[in-house]
Amino acid sequence: MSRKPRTWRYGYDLSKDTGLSSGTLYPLLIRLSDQGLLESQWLEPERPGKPPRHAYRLTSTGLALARTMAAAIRRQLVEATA
Amino acid sequence: MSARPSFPRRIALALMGHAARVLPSARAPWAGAMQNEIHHIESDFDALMWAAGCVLAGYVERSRVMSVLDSDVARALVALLIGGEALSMLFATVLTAAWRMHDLEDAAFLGAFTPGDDYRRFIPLMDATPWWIHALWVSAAVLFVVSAIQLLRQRRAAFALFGAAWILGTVGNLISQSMPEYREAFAFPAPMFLRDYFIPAVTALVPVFIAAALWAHSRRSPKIT
Repeated sequence: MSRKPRTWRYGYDLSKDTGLSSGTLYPLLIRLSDQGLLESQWLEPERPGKPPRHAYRLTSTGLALARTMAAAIRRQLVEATA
Repeated sequence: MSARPSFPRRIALALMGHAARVLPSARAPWAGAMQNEIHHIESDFDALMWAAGCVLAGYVERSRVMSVLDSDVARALVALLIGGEALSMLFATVLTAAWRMHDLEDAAFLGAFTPGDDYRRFIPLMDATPWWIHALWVSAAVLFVVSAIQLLRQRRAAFALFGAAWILGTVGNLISQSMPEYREAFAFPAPMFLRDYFIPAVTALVPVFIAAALWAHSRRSPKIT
């Protein structure tokens, strides 16, 4: 989500990309949303006859946190391998 | 006319319905999100796995807002236990009052509930206990009662009130137990498991149980029901 921060992502796509089951993914999304790190909206379906889909993307706070954490992990990896 | 869904797809849809019902009502948009998403999954097997995961997510969310004190019966039982704590706080004060007012019949009745079954062994302790320790115990008892009322009214203040009552009562007990008259009154010739270990352990654990239940109840978000 932090790679394409302006793109809205669907739950099933996120599940496939991350390898997380819906049972793990949705509680995470709910927590992130509660903490103001994730925003969501209903989008009209791309194919007719299907219901609208709930789509997600990181808020600016969520994006900043994701980048900070990614940088910290990279630093730790560099230190561990040095 | 659309074709009838396959058997696995029908199970998946039934599971999704269950997941939506399990989710707390404040999470209704999330239930809708999960339910609609399944219609965009082509594979029936993936849809089934998706639905099973959503049931798990539903229970995870439900467990986060559940509390042992959700039911009226559980709240009433814990309120009764808190009432018991209030009575135990008042016990020494009431016994001392009965003794000092020469109400020996009531003193003997209360003495039957003490180790040794006789109030007279506590006369030196009652005479030596200063009034302000009784004030601590009575204050603790009042706070316990207010805590029980707040619990029955489902107010979060119940936990803080219970904690304050417990601290006051414990301070009073510790000061009382440091007095030589206390050690004399509770010196028994032979050890007894029930009197010396079991009852003190249960007496100490009951407030811990109550506090844990109140704490868990007070941490629930009021928005999520």
